[in-house]
Amino acid sequence: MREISQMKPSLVAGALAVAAFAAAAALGGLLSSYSTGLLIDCLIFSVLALGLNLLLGQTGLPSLGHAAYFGVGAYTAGLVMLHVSDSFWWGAAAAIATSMAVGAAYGLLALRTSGVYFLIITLALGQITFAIAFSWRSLTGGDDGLRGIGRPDLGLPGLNVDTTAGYYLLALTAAAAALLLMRLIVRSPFGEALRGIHQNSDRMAALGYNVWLYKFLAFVISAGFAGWAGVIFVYYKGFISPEAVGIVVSAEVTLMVIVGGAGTLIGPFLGAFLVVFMSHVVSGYTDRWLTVLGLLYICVMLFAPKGIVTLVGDAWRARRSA
Amino acid sequence: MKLRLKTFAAALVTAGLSASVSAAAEETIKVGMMSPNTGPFAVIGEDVRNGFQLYVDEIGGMAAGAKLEVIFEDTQAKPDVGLTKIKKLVESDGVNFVGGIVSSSVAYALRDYMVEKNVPLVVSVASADGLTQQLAAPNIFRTNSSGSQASHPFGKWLFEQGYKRVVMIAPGYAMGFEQTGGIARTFTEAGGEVIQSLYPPLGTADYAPFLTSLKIDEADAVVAVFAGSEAIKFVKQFEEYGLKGTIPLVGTSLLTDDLILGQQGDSALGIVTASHYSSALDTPGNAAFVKAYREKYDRSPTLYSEGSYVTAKAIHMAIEALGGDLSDPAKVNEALAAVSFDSPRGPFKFDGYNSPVHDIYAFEVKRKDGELVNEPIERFEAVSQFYTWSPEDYMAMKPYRDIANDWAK
Repeated sequence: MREISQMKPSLVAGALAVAAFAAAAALGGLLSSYSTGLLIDCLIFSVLALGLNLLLGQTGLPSLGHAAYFGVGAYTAGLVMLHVSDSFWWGAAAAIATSMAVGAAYGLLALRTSGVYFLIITLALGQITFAIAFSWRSLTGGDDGLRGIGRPDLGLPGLNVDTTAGYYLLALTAAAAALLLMRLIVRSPFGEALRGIHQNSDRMAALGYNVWLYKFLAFVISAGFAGWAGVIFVYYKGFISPEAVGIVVSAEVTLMVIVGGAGTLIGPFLGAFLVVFMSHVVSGYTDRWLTVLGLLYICVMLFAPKGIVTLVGDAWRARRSA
Repeated sequence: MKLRLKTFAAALVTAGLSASVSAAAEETIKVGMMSPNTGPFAVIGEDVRNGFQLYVDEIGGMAAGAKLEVIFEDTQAKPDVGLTKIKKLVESDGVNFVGGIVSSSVAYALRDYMVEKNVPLVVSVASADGLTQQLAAPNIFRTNSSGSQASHPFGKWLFEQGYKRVVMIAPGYAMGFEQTGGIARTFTEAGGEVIQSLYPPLGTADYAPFLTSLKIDEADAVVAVFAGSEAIKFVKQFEEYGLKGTIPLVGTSLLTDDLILGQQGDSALGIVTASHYSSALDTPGNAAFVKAYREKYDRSPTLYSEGSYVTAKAIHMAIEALGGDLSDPAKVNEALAAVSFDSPRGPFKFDGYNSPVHDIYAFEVKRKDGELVNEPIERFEAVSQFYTWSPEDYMAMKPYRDIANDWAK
């Protein structure tokens, strides 16, 4: 009896997740191509926010340069497509590997610091990456960027990603895979240790954990997720330019994580959908859309400082226990 | 409350009905207008919207008997956002034309998509040479000068003015390379010499180290190309470091354009630049345009607003030439490519690559009736982006952005 009641929620959650995925997949065929495209944008930034959340939400490391790994992934996948092969898998593998390698190098530097110094150094590293993308003209195309990047070949018969609806399925699957993987990571002992470090790193060190190594691994994995988002981005857009590597993207992703709910699995998705949708929809009605967004963020910070998902979750638990 | 809701619903229904009725009664031609409302180019974006709206108002919002509906979208000066917005305009709104575009990276990002969809894109500001050269397409147009278009006649003219040796300074990206490159090419071909070229990174906060390393003593003039806040900073520092008055400062339009001239103040006096437009131009069309623009927006037009005004006029002329029938995309492109009219800048038409052929001027910053203006001092008639070269010969040369460091000997 007890076993069943313990099984049930996870079974129900699993069934719900499958149903949600199927519903989301069906949505792509129903919506206009513009709305579907907007959903792809949302999914791309969801994956990027999901990666940042491992650092910001789980480990408590405020990285403000995450667009760097996103950009490195996108540029690598783009360059592979332009010069080597149009295979999705080669591009994706190269991009994630390069992003993680850059993440490892930057992690070695950044993890010598903590707190606000960590924020500043990740910001600086992000800007260095932007400067490289901007000025290494022969490789990155400089400020003009790389263009003419076609849609990739997935090597799977029957799956055509040349259309927006087809690409939406790819993006949705990519985001779902990222979400599942992240769920495994944060629910593993490794994830537990990261949350322990977030709460009290001295105590974790006293318990015998190699705190630095855990942080470093989290940093590299997080960069890998960002690289994965970059892959989906560049094949969808067909171009990549230094703007995607800049501070604006880094700051926006941080905002997505915080608004949605840092430290939760669904928070980054909610945050990304909210920010992307609002900026596209509201800007269609008023030039002052940034003001509207600004007010929204202030409200979230005032009434839900831990993010919307955490607020809803707390309210739900309070109601059940009452 | 209930009553109010009911009235509201009724109002909505009536509004919806009347909208659909009027839509059925007359044909609508939709034009998408993309400009940055936010981000670093927001000020330019405002000029772009104003210039376009002014023309649409002048023709009463009608073209060839159809209603002209303009849909403005914010690119945020980000290429990926620009692409999403243009997809909205083309796929959701079903626009017949797209105009605007300030940032060259946004223009490059949209180019392939627009070529695939074959909807005419009339770029108002973005000046990257490649757009109407190597990447030219039947449906990609531009009303602004290409990056090096105004520079070509200007470089030769500088040599004829008696300058034999110059130093060049410009921001280290495509715009800076193209605008200085055009000057350097014709200047050196005429017999002049570039003795130094400096490219400070975009966003440089302080030009002092660059100003002090300029080889002023060996040069007859400083060629500078900067835009926006960087141009304000550079021109002011040029004066603060005592260089103003000791050596002439010349450049391209952006260094002292009408948008920033007021903020530069007297430090800009005497600077000579090359461009196709300033609000002080004495053409038949300009006086009325400046007057109307000032009445409506309470400030002088800039080359950005004029470029956008011309974009609107080109689109209008094409619609009129087709009698409002936009069903054949190839014919729409042909009609746009064939437009030719008088504009505030003077006679306007497209070359074979859909970039303008127009008069280029040398302007000098002067004070007139208490206001700083870019006063025309020389005119170069009907200059195209290829200047005196044939398009094939011109495009066979290496692009300016790849040879920026080769000019200085």
